[in-house]
Amino acid sequence: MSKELLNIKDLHVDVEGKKILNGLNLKINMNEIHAIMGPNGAGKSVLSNVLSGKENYNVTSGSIKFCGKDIINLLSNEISNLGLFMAFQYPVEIPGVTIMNFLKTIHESKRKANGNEPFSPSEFLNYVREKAEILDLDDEILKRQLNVGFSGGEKKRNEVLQLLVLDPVLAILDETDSGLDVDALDIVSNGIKGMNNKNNSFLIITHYKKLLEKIPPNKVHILADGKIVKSGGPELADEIENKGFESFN
Amino acid sequence: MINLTLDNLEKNLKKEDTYKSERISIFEDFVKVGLPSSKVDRWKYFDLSSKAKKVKNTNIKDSIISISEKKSDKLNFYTAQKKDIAPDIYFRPKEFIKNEPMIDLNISCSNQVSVLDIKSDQEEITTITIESDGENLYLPRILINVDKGISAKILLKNLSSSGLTNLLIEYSLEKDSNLEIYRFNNSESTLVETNIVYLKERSNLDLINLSTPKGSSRFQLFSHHLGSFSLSSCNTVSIPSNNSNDDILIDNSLMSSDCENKSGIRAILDSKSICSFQSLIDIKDSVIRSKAEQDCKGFLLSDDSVMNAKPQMNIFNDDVICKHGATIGSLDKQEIFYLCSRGLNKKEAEKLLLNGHISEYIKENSILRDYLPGDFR
Repeated sequence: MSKELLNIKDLHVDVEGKKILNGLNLKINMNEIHAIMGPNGAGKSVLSNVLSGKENYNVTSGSIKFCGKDIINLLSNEISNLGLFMAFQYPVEIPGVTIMNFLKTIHESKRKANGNEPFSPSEFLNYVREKAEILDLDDEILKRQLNVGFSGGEKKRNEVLQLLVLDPVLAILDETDSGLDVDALDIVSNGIKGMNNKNNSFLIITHYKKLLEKIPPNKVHILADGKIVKSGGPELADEIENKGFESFN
Repeated sequence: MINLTLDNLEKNLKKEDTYKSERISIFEDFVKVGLPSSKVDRWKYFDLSSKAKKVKNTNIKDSIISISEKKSDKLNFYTAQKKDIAPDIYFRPKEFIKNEPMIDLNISCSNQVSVLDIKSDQEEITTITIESDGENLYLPRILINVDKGISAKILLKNLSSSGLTNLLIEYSLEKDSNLEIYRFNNSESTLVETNIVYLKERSNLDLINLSTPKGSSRFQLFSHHLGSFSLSSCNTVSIPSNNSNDDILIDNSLMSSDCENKSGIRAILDSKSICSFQSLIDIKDSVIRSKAEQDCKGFLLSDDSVMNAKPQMNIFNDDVICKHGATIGSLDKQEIFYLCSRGLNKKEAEKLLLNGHISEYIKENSILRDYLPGDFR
């Protein structure tokens, strides 16, 4: 039996007094790929933000266990250091910080949190280059300021680069496919597939079937009105494509 | 007016005959306005008049000015007598800038003029250090001349520790010359530093200003684009200590066509520190194809810190490209969340963000890196 990685039970979340998640249940085991699909405003991004420890989300009841720990009261960095990574739907721009410096800082921070020595500069450079190559990113982009002046596609690729560098146990991809052209979608999905192994899992949040054709999920869930209203296999994505979300409300 | 008695200043003025009548006339201009106070001063600047009251000794003393390389075939640094400086050079600031009492005070009463002539290209940075010694009034003046086609770099360190320093620096950039200035202000005293720049055709001034005052500091830069295709930029990182003031005025006159100017500030303000940034661009009606940018970002790390920003553009011609922006506030919460979601704690995230903003102006290999406060190195 696979090891349990994430277990969300009866989760209720308010944002500024408005109920967004309303009794959500979700279980992800190690070495599984799950997809969440749902209409706009269903609570998909709120779910990923709550899992990542964003402040100002009021968890009124329920529990979230990640790697066996209750993470509801943990800080964002503490959750990250447990091995959770979220690829943002809208990555922010950080002026003055080059991608290379940023990757080095977060990689060192993670290794330190896990009691490991940092890589030597040359070791790290080779490590990053290897990951960047998978995503067809050259050295020049590593010298640029983090997301500053990037196209939507470049930002998403940069998110996946961070994912590859940090090598988490659970990666949440919050609409990583939006803003990607066909070729970029191929590169990104190949990168993600390449890192998928028995020691990690993925939660893909998407509106479209396209990414799920490239990274086939074990389970597809439909999120509507703040809870999972239906779960099934990859065929559920076809059903949504044909019928839309209306029939699941 | 002030504790600096006019009698003493006048006595000093009459000691020497050189340009006496002109200097007395300029001194009278100064007396009419007096030291800048909250009533007559520029917008939101600290009250210099009240700060000057703390100066115990109203005699004028020489600042201690030192230079890393004194005399070579590349440059010549010397102390000049007034009579050695032609009147059109000595009084040139008055031709360009009216009603600036601190310039008037310096020109009329200064006994200390240093000249740096840069005659050939410099690979190394020349360091000029300015220090004070006791609660006195200091009126140093420095003239820096960069010859035609020459490229040079200067690190200017202002380490005045006491008294009131009213420093006037003039930069003359001849045709096709390039000057990089790295200014480090770590003064603990009351400081007014006025920089006047004269830019000839195709000359280029690039000034990076790291200002970490521990007292009350005012930096004024007046750039005059006299020749076409001249470029100038002045980017400031301001990190005043607790209870300190850092006033920055950048005043750019684009007097010829095809010139370009950029000015910006990144202010990091904690405790009760205050920064006021004023940037003016003046483009005459006959001047075409100008480009100018002003960019201000202030980060308030405490409830008691204050940032004032005032961009101003006086444009009298349509053939220009100008832009300006100013943002003041605490660090962006979404940016902090983004960094924390990658494993950094809040303090590390804030430090990385602030370092990033500093790095926009003070690059990783810049000499000014060594002078950043410990938290930001």
